[in-house]
Amino acid sequence: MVDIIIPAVLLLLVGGFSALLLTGSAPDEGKRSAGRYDERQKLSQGRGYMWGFLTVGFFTFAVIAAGAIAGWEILSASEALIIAFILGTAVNAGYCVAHDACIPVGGRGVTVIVCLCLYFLLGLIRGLDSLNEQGPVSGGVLGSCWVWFTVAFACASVLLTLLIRRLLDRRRGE
Amino acid sequence: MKNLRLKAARAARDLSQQVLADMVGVSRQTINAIEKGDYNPTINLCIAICRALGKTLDELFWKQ
Repeated sequence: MVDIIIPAVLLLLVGGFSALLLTGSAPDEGKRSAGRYDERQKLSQGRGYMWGFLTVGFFTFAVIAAGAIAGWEILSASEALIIAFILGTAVNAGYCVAHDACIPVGGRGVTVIVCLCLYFLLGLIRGLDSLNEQGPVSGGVLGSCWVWFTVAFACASVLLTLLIRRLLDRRRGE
Repeated sequence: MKNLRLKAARAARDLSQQVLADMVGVSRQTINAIEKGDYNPTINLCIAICRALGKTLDELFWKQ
């Protein structure tokens, strides 16, 4: 049963994501600048990239140092790299969201929220599936389910930041 | 430092931040950040804002 559900859910997620990208990101004709980022947003995105790269470097260094100095081999090299990139991307996205640089001028935040929800569900479903199959530890290191849980955690963090930001923005008004 | 002159000029023309933002092609948060003094706009954006509000650069952005 699971063998049928997982590909179906994946297909649904990929199809939904593609449809959202094609329809949701269409610029508003009424605004000449719709669909692009303004100069302040690009500046914030640049700073977001910087924090993202620093996160990747710090996490990778921490895993290598933990293995070399303390002998804690908790992650395989490939898992560590994948998790580092996921965390780096999440930090970048979170920074951009916190500084209103995530949604382009005239863009709709709903598209981003729906995409984040889909990826959160994907990470959670795939993580639970992997946990049931392999368990939390595999071959002496953390299993691959933790990579998927990191995806879910990253998406949930960015989603929460986005929702808080929108709430504060609405309350503050002008 | 807050840019109260920009806020006053916008209010004098009865424009909301969103309307001014649409006129100059930026997000509402960018106009808000400029008014609060959290962001220093480029000269191109300054000129666009001045044109939209019918003011000169000196009137809106020159620090005396």
